[in-house]
Amino acid sequence: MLNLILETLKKENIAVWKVKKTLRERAELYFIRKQLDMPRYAVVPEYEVSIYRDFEENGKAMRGLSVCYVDEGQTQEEISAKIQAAYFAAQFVKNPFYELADAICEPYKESTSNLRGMDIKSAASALADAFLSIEDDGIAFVNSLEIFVRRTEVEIIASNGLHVSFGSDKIDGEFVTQCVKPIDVEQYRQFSYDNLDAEALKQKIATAIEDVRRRANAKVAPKTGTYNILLTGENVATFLEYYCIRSHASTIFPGYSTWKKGDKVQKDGSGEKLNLDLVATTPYSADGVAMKDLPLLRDGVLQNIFGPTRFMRYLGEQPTGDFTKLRVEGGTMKFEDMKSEGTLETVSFSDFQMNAFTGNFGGEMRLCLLRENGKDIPLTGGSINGKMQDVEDKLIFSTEKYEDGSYCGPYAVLIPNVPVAGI
Amino acid sequence: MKVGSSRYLMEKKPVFKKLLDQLLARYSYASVIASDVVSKNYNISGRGINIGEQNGFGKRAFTVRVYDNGGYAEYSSVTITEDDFESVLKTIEESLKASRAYNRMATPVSDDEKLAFCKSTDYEIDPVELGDEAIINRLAQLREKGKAMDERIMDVTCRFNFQRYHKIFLSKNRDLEQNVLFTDAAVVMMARKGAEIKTSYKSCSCLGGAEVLDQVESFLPITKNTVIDLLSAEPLTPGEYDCICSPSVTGMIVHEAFGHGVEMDMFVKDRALAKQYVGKRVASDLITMRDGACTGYDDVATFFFDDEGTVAHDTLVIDKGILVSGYADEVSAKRLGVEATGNGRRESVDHKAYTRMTNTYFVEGNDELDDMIASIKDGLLLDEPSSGMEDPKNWGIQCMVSFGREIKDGKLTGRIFSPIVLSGYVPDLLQSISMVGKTVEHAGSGFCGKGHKEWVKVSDGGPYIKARIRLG
Repeated sequence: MLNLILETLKKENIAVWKVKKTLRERAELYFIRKQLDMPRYAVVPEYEVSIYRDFEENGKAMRGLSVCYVDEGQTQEEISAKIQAAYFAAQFVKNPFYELADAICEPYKESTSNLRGMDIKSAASALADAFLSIEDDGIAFVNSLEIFVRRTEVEIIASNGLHVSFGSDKIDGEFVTQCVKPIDVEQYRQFSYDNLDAEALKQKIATAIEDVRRRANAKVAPKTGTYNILLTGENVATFLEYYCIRSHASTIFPGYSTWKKGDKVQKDGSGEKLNLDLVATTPYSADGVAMKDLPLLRDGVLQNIFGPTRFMRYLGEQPTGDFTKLRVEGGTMKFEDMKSEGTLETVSFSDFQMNAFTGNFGGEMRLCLLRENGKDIPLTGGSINGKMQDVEDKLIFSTEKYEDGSYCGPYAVLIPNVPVAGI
Repeated sequence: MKVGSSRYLMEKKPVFKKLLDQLLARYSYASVIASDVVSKNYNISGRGINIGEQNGFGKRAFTVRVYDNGGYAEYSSVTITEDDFESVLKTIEESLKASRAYNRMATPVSDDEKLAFCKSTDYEIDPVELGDEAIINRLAQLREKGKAMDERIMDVTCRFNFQRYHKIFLSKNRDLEQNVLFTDAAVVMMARKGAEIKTSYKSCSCLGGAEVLDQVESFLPITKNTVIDLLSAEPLTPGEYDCICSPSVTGMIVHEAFGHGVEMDMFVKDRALAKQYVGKRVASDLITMRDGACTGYDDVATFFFDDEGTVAHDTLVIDKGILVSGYADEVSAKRLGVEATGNGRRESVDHKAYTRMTNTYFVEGNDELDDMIASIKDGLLLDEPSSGMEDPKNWGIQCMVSFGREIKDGKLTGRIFSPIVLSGYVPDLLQSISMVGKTVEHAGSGFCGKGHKEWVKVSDGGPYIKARIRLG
C-alpha cells in the first residue's frame, strides 16, 4: 500500500510530500468486577499523506499543506483523487514558507520495551491475571478494569529524502475502585506503562483501594477558605503543564505566549526553583525529527522552546518535535513533613485542570485529607480554584518520587494559600 | 438534498455478507458494522491556516462481533477481502479461546429482530461542493471582521468542520444502512491582560451542511463583548448563589452533572446512584429531560441506528422531576432486562461500543429571561461552559464555566467574575430549579468522553434555568 501511495505521488507530480504509515495493533480486555465483559482485538493501519504546495502571495514565499488519509485497499484511482483534492486545497493554505524536517535516513529503531517480541494478547492476559490475583474483602474492591496493550509501527518518508521508522509498545488503561461501606463511593484511576510490569499495576490498584476506602469515610466538604494544598501524582504533571504550553512554539509564534529562551519565567520567592526536562518517548516525532530529551527550565529560567517543524522554523529554531512526558528534578521536603496542621492533601479530583493561558488551575475534589490535630481527616466535595502566577514562587516539592507514562519527578507539590469553595 | 450512499460500502457489502455467513456457521450470533467517513477541518487563526481531513474519529473500518460462551468478542480492522477471511476467523477464535480462561459476565444474546432499511439525513449546502476556497475565504473574512472590532482583540480563531459518514450493519436478520452529514463552526476571541490571555467562544452545529456558517457572523459582537468584559473580571468569593444558567450551561449540567449518571452501562457496573432513583424525584417538577438520536431536536448526534444495530430512540429521562428511565446500549440493556434505546456508540467503528448520550436536553418551561433576572436579589448569570466531569456514583458536580455576570436587585450590574467552578450535589441543584425559560437552545460543537477517552459527537442544551448553586 505504501508503495502504491508513493507511486501515485510520483504520477501526480507532487514535488513536496510526506507519508506517515502507522500500523496499530491493540489487544483489549474489559472486566466488570472479576468477570470478563469482552475481549477485543484490532489491527488498524493508517496512511497519513501530507501534500505541500509552494507558491507566492504578494511576493512572499508560501507553503500550503493539506493532509489526507488513504485507506488500506484503496485503488490508485481513489488515491489519485485524494491527492489531487489535497493539492488543490493546499493553494488556499497561505502559510509562510518553511523547510520540512531535516532529511535524515536511518535504520529502523526497535522498541526497547520488554513487550517487544511478546504477543500483545498474552501481555494483556498477564495483566488480567495479576489483577485477578488481588484478593479483596468485598467492601473495597475493583469495580471495573479496562486493559489496552498497544503495538505501533511507524514509518515516515518525505520527498526531501527523510526516511525513518520505529516501533513502540505501550500498556495503558483505567480502573474504578469502589467501597460500599459506610458510604458507597468510587474512584477512577488511569495507568500507563512502557513495559509489562504486572506488579506496578497491582500496587497501583492496592493504593487506589485504600484511597477509596478513605473516601467512603469522608462525610463532608472542607470549609470555605484558603488552604495550603498538596497536589499529588499525575496532578503534579497537569499543574506544571503551564510551563510546557507557554514554551511551546505554536503558542509563542502567534504571540499567545511572550516567553523567550533565557527568560526568567518563574518568579523569585521562597519556594524551590523549577528544573524541568522534556523526555523523548519515541525515537522520532510525527514530522520525522529525531527526538532527544530537552532541558526546559533551569532554576526557573527557560532553556529551550519546543514544538513541531513549522512553528520552530518560523521562530528560527531547530525543530525538536512534540513531547508527552515531563521530568522534574528536585524535591526538598519529605512528604510527611509537608503535611503541617491545616494542610489539605488532594488525593483525587473529578478532573483537575490547568488553563495555561490564564494560569488558573482547579477542580472538584473527590477525596482530600485535612491534617487536623496530627491526623488526616478524609473529606469529599468542594473545589479549589487557584492561579499559578500567585503561587509559583512558593512551591515546595517532595523528596518522594512518582513516575507514569507522562511524568517523572516529585510525588507531591505544596501550594500555599489556594482558595477552596466548600461548605 | 439527501446524503447519498457510499460506493465503497456498496461494493464491499457482498464481502461483508460472505464473512457474516462464515461467522454464523460457527457462532450463534454474529454481526458486522462497517463505515466510510469523510471528515474535514477548516481553521484560521494567528497560528495560520489549516485545511485537512480529520482522522481518529472516523475512517473506513469494520467491527465483527460474535457471541460465544455466554458473551461477546470483537475484532476490528479497516477493510477486508475474501483472502483475509481465514486469518480473521482464526484471530477471533484465538481471542475467544484465551477468554475462556476467565469467568464471563453473563450476557443474553441479541434478539436480532428482522429489520432492513436505508435512510439518509438532509442538507442544504454540500461543503464539498461549496469548496475549500469559499469556506476558508468566508472564515478569513469573519476573522478580519472580528479582529477589527476592538484593538484589544489579539487574535480571532474561526473554524468549520464537517463529517459525512456512511454505515452499514449486517446480522442474520438485519440489513441497515445510514448516510449522515453534520457540521459545526465556532469563533474564539483572545485578549491579553498582562501575563494572562482571556478567551471567549461561541459555537454552533447542525445536522446538515455548510448552511451552519450563516450563524457565525452573529457571534462576533457577542464574543467580542465577552472577551473585553473578561479583561476586568474579578475572582469570585466562594459560596452558594442564586444563579441563572444560560442554555449552554444548562446543557453542561444536563450532560455532565446528570446525563452520564443515567448511562445504563453504569447501572450494570453498579456505578450509578441513579439506578436507585428510577421512579423517584431527582429534580424540581419544572424539569423534563430527553435524550435520543431522533428527539426532534436534530443535531450532530442524530442518526437512524446505533453502532450495535439498534434503531434510534427518543427517551424520556426525567418527567416533571421524576426519573423515568436511563438510556442503554444493547449489551447493557440485555444484562438489565430492559429495552435498548439506541445509545450504543463507538468513537469510530474500530472501537468498543459503550452507552453514550446523543442529543440530550431539558425541555422548555414558561418563564421569560427578563423575569428570571428580575427575580434575583443577589446572584449571577452563568455562561460559557469550559469543562465538566461526571460523578455518576455519588452525583458530585464538577463543571467549570468561563464567567458569571453579577445580578443585584434584579438587574445585571456589569461586574463579571471569572473563572467559576460549580460544585455540589446533583439532586440538590436540580431540585433547586425554580424557573425555566421558554426556548430550548442546543449545540454540539464538542466531543464527549467516557471517562477520559472514547470521544463521540453529542449535542446538549435546554432553556435558561434558575437554580441555587455552590460556586468557587
